[in-house]
Amino acid sequence: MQLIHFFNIIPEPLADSPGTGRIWRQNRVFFKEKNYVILAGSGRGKTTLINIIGGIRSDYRGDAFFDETNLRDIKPDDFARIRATQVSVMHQDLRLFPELTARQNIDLNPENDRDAVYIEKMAARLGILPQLDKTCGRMSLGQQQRVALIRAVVRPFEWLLLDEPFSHLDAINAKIAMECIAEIAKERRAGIIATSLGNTDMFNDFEILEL
Amino acid sequence: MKSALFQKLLLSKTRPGQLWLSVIGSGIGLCIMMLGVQLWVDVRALMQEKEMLGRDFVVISKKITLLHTMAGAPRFSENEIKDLMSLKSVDDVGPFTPSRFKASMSMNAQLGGFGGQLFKSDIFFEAVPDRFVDIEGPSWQWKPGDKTIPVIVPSAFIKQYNHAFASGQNMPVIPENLLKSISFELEISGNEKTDQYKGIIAGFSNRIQAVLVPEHFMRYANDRYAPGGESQPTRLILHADNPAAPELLNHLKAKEFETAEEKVKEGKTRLLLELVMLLMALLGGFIVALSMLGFLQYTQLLAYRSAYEIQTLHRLGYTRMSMISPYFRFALRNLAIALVISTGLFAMLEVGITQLFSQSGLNLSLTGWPWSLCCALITGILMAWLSYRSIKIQVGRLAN
Repeated sequence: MQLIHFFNIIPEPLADSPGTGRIWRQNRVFFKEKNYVILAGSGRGKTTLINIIGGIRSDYRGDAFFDETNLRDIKPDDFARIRATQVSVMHQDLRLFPELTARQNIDLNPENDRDAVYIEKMAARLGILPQLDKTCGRMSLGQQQRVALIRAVVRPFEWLLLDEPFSHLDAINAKIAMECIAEIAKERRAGIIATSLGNTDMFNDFEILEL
Repeated sequence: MKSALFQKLLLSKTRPGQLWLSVIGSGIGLCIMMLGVQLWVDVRALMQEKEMLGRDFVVISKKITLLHTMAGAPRFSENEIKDLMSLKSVDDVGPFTPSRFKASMSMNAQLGGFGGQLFKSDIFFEAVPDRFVDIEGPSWQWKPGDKTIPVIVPSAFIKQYNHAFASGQNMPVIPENLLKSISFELEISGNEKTDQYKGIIAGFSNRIQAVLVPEHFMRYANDRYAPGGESQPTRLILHADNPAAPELLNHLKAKEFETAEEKVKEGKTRLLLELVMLLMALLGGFIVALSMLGFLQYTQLLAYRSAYEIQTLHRLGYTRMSMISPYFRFALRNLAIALVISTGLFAMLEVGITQLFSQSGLNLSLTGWPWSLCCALITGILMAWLSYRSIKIQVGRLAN
């Protein structure tokens, strides 16, 4: 999947507002070898954009394509398979299972292509190795965010969608997290689409797009 | 390990109390249905002993008093027949035509190596209009020239022969069904003529006192062997949907007509029984439907309580299909438990009922249980299918 093509897209809830930025109601192509950060304030549809690409929402006007395939033509279960192996999404609300341990949460990926050693190394680097066998419900938001991050990158993907990935991290931890993400995405030769409320300090080598 | 985790997540919100309530409820519901089916089959079998004069016929006659001893049996007038016809509960009235000629019957057995004449007896015939006889087709037809006459024999004759006569005289006893394949000789005489005929038994009836022959034959034979006789009937046959209808009973009472009490009582019992069975079927159906609804809703509710898990797993990349199967397997397991409970309960009740019947001297054989099992199985399959559909819809709805 080399391209994600947005053609004149506007989400239904925003249908009355004019497309002033560089994505809504525009002709926009995301290339796999590049990284993008979407910049916008609250309520401008950042999460909606992530969910459209992830196949979770389809209440929009216009059309989106993976290469030649219209997203509307992909059945829900086929989209689930795409998420399992091609498009990895890290949600803003993290979507962890609070009663399971961090390790169990990570293991629950439909497919993982990194082993336990890799996961532990990454957890150590992010500073949550001691938390790996604790239930997520008892962790701080910052710790949970890092668990969600690990879960999103140890599974196979060609595109990584990150919805405000560092919102609960301090600058130092955010920087480390960004390094991890950049390394693994490069390894996989995957494209990244991230969103941010305004801070773009962490996003080196990212094309900044206003929504 | 992952699949265990996956299942645990989806099925984590079970409530054992509710679960067992719904499973046991379905089990009891199924059991009631099985009992209902069994009762239906057995009671119907009990009441549907083959009767050549259909089930809804009543035979009436006039009371015989001392005054009649010389004048012969009292006869029904045209007006009395018309009155009966006008009753709402009476569909049809027909006369019994008695034979006015002399007839004797003899049986020559080739049965079991016996030679010679088994017995010979004087008999008399009666006829009713063909529409009152429950035999289809050519086996109940006679036309002039035919030497073979189909007859319907009172069941009592056979019992008399087998139990009183044959055993006393060292004759072979003959079961009813075998008797149907045997023919016998009839000798009919009168008006200075004597003819030989062959009789074939077309069936048996509990409700006649004489041998029934086709109406055509009776007319022909009366004219030939005893011309110019009385034409008004002494007995009538009525067709009534409900032989126990109050209107009919009151009329018979007022006119002092006699009827076979037994038949009327049977009609009343049958009506009551049918009503009870219908009520039970309705009630049973209602309970079954309710318990099944509870069963379906339990699984739906279970999925609903795990809405977050279903949605999140779907977002992680699990297909809806893969999430349906744990719920479906769960429902199947519960259904199997409910079926085992209902079958076990049913078997226990079966034994109890049989004992109760034999203690009270009723020799009722329970033969309806395979139907019950069939119905339970069909309901189980239907439930499995409904469960699958409802789970599929529910998971699909919750996943997005």
